[in-house]
Amino acid sequence: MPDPRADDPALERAFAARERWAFDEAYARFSGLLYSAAYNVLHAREDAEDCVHDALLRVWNNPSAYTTERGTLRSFLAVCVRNAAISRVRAMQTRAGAQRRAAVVESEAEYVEFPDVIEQSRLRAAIAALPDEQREPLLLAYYGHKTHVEIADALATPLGTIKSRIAQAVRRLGHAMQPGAAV
Amino acid sequence: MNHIDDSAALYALGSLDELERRRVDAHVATCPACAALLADAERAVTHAIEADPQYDPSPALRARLEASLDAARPAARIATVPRAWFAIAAAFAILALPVGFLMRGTMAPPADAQFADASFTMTATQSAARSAHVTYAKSGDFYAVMVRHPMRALRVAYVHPDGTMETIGTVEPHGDMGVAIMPIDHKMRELALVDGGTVVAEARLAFN
Repeated sequence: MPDPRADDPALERAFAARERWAFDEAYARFSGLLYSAAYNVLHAREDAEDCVHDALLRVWNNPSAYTTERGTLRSFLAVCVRNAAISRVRAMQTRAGAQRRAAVVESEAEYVEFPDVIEQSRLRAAIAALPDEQREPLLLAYYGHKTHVEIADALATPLGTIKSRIAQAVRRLGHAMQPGAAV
Repeated sequence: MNHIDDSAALYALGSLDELERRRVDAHVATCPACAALLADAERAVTHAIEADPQYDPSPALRARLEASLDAARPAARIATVPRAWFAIAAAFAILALPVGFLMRGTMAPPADAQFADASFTMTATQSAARSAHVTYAKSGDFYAVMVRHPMRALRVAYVHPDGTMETIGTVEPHGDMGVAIMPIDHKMRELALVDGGTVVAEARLAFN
C-alpha cells in the first residue's frame, strides 16, 4: 500500500474524473483518517460512519465538487468529512437531549491507533509558538467547533479581527508543519 | 462573491456555517487563486486532524458505500442487457475471434451495421491482456468488448473529448478470454481498457 500521506496526482486526476477505481483507492488509503476526522467530532461510531458515508457520496455524486485545483484529495476529503461532522454536531446541539446523547456514546470509543507522536508533538509545538491572540481563537475553532461569530462573541473581539487572527494562525501552522520546517 | 481571503482558514477549520461554506465552494470553483488558498488552509488543518487519535471504521462502512455507489450507477449498463442477448453476443464473440483478435485498426463493418468494429491498440509495456476488440451486433442494440488472455479484470472506459474517463463496464476474465456486453446508448469515439489506474489499451471508434 502506498504511503497514504503521499500526494498522488494520478489518483487525484482519476478521482476528479470520477473513475470508480479512484474512489475505491481513495477509500482504501484515507478511510482511517476520514473516519477519525468524523469520530473525533461526533464521538459515536454509527454517527461517524453515517457522516463519512454521506459526505463521500455527496462529493462523488457532484462532479464539480473536487477538481485537482482544489488541492490534495487527502486534505480535501478530510476537511470535507470533518465539516460535515461539525454540521451534524451543530444540528444535534439544537435538539433537546443532545447532551444526554453525547454522554451515552462516550463508551463507544474504541481506540485503535496512536497518532504519529512526532507529528503530534510538532503540531503542539507549532500551536504553542503562536501568539496568544492567535492561539485562543484557533483552539476555539478547531477543538471547540465554534463558528467565527461565536468566537468573536466569546472573546469580545471584532469579527474582522478574529477572522484575520485565525487566518494568520492557520498560515503559521501550515508553514510550521511543512517537512523540514523548524517550529 | 469577492475573494475568500481569511475565510479559507475558517472554512478549513469548520468555523463557517453551511451557507457561508456553500458560498466559498461556489467561488473557488471559478477562482484558481482562492482554490489554492483554500487548499493550503486545508492542508494545514489536516495536520491537526492527523494528530488527533486515529480509529478505523468497521468493514460494514465500505460495504455500505459500495452498495450506495452501485445503486446510483447510471443505467447499470451491463445489467440492462437481456440474458438472451448475452448468449447471442457470446456466440458472436467466439465467431469473431479468429479474425478480430489478430487485427489492428478498424475492420469493415457489417453491411447493415451502424457502427464499425475496431481493435484496441495495446499501450502498456507489460500488458494485462494480449489483444482486445470491439464488435457491434448487427441489430445495433449492443456491442461486445472482447479481450484475449486477460490477466485480471479490466475496466472498460469511455474517453471523453477532454481526456477524462468514465467507466462503463468491466471485462471479467473467463479462461482465455473476457467479454463485456454493453448496450449502445451513447456515441463513443474512444474507449480505453484500464488495469487499476493504468490505460493498457485504446480504441478509436468509427460510426455512421
